Amino acid sequence: MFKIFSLWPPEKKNNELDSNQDQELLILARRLKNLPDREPPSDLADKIIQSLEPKKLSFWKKLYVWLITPKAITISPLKLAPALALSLLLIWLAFGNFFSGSQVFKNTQKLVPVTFVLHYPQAHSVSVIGSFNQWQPKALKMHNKNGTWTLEIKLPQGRYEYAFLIDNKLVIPDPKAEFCKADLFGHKNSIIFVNHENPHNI
Amino acid sequence: MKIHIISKIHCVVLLFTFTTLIGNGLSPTWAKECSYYNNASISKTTNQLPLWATNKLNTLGENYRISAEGRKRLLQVLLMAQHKQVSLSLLISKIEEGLAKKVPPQIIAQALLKEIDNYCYVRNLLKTFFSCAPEKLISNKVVKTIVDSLSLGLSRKELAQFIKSAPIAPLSMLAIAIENLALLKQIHFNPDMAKQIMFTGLRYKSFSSDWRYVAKIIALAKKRNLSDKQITKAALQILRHKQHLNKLMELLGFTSRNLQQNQFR
Repeated sequence: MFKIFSLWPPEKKNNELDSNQDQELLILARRLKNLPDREPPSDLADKIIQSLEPKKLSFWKKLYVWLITPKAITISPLKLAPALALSLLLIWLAFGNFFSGSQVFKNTQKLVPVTFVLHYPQAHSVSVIGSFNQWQPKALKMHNKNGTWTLEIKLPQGRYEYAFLIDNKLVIPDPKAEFCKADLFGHKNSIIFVNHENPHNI
Repeated sequence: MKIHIISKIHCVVLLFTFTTLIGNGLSPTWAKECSYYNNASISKTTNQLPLWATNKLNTLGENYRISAEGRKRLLQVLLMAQHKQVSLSLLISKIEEGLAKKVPPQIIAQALLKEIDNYCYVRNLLKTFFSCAPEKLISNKVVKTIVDSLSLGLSRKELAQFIKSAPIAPLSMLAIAIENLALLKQIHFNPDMAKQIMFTGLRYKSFSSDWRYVAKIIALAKKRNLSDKQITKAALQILRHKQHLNKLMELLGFTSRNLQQNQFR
């Protein structure tokens, strides 16, 4: 084949081919005709098909190509609504605890009901503050009934300190509590025992 | 509606940024932290404190509007506590308590110093009498319970004497005994009989966690006009047989009904 192409004349326009060149072409055609008639190799077709097949890419290359290929998403606004609602629900479930003021009732332990009672008619507002609600006055406000303030909450087992916050100013211990503890600020905290293991719910 | 996305990498980056911002935005302390760290003089002091402690103190400072001077004082005390290896979480809880009670930061700082001193005293006491126990085995819970007994009315001298003469027992049981000893002192229970109950519990290693409430049972028994001697006799009998606290209640004649009427307070 190389020889054949080497015989080909230098670049010239078709209309400029002279008679010598015509003769050379005729000789070339004759030589080609006289070439022995051979069968092509049996695997020629396979080789050609194989060379035409795309190259196999590695997983990472495929991933990279997939990632950088721009995509278009078609969204139906009607179908989007439930998906959006579900997303909001999941966000709320994941971050919901940030919105709560108190973590007292989120404990997974068994909870025991406890009632706080304080007779203080002159108070305008009374809250229970204690180690069970990180001493947050806003969390546990008591309800007034004829000067007696009450609040029922559920607590996990343990020993807790607490006090009553009157009108957001005055702090007093529970006058009915049997045990108390010095708070090191010059006041006393009352002590409550909560035990769910005991069958008597003490 | 068709949304064209430049590429999925951009999509992932955008999603990550969005979730990070949302996550931080939902945190109540985040915005406050930003303002707090603007105060260079204070943030410089907090470098040695764990981040959670700094954040907590900062949140409290913002919520209760503590002055810069007050914050600085509290931080100094917390740093001292950290230096002395006193649990910061317990002290921060004390700060929360003080602020909720409208106690000025200077007074809170004094209370914290007292608490730190009590911690160091109790820890040294335990190291002295339980030298065989490695320090890491002395849990914070045990130390806190014993420290609390000092605020429940037990003097340092009484505490040291009790620990010195107490039978060898696990520290958790010792803590239960000391706490109950302090509580029984409050209800004027015979001190010798109280010690006898506690020593028996330690000797027989009967102070399981439910015995933490024994002082309350004894208080109720006293209300029912049972004498200290009767109560002691019953308690010793139960402790010697390593029985549950419920058995003591049964022996003292309590029923479920009258216990529920006497709310445990």
